[in-house]
Amino acid sequence: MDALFRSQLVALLPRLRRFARGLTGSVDRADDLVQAACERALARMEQWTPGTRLDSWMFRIVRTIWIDELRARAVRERAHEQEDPGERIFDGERHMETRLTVEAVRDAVAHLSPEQREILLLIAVEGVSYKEAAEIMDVPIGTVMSRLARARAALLKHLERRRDGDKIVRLGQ
Amino acid sequence: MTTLRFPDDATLMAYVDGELDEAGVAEVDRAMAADAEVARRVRVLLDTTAALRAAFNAPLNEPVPERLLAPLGAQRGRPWRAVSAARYAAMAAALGALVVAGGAYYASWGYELPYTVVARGQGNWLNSVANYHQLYARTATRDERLLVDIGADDMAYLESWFGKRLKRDVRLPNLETQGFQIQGGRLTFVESLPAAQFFYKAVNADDVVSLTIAQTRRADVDWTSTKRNGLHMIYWRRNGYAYVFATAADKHVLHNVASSFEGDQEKI
Repeated sequence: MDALFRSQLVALLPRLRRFARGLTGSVDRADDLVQAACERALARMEQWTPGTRLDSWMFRIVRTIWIDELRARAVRERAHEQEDPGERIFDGERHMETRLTVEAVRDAVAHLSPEQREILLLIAVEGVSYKEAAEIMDVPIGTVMSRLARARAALLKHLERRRDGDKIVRLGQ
Repeated sequence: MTTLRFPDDATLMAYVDGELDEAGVAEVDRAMAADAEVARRVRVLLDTTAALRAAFNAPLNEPVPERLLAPLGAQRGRPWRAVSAARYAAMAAALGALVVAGGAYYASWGYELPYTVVARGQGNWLNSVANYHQLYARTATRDERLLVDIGADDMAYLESWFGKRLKRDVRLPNLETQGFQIQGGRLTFVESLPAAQFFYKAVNADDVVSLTIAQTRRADVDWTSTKRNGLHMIYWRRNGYAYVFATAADKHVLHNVASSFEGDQEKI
């Protein structure tokens, strides 16, 4: 059980990092989050039933820790935290257009509420079903659908604002 | 006064997210073919979803830090694979459609996108792929060797043989890390053009995943998830070729398999 659990968890790490990075918007904070989630999962290994979805179980743990952190941070500081500029994944003029467009989407996601961000990441990026998302987020499936619709609309709105507000609008035209 | 419209946004979202049953999918397909506005709304959802995946997929191609592996008793076994300029170019193409688009956002689905909607008959070629897949999967339980034209014993030969028929280089993905072993490939035709269908079988189960590479005259389309004839399917088209992953197994199996190849033609 222990070895199987660990090996499955290792295989999941890239997806957990992707989910966490989408939630946090930061490479380092995402890895901190995944590390904390893995530690918690190892401590509670017996609560996971072999044969059931480990990814859903882990997404739930990641999400729970992240929500706890957000709440703690809200108490500590109300100020908006700036992103670490060192985490850009594109460098150089050659990839400028790509970097900007990727950044535009990531930036738009970063401006969503935590609830909207997580529902988009779970369904659009991780590909979990509405039912599984409802279980992970512990909400009714109707809430998942309405939250998802609002998140998608908000994402488009943010992209539109950004397009009107900076040079992205001129790229490719 | 609020005007009700069909299919409503919730239905279209469910269509894009693979949540509709086959009857629901067929109904939306019909609506898209009959109404360009419905097709446009679907495209907005599809493009948004493709852009999100492209924007967040980087961790799938990065080495996992030792500090995450060590507590699990694992070591870094996969070498760093630099993400190529071509991959970023593909991502740019996917994102460009969404971000560089002209037009104004004036309602939930009012975001204009510079594409040509090709909705009519969209399902036919996918149905062909699905039918070929099911033919193999049903018979594979009896004798899978009968159904592949070229087995996977010699991968170089397999890729070369199909490459000649498809008039392109074929580099088949290795899905062993995801629990699937390639069995071989069959040559077939989709819409009168050559197509190769490669089959992967789960190591510890009977699940089958197929990858179809087909020549196509259809317009490029980004990563799209759908359901046909009981199969979960993810497909995209680029530069005259269509790529389709299909399985009757859990759609998450398919999503995980396909997502690591999204927008990266260098891998196939």
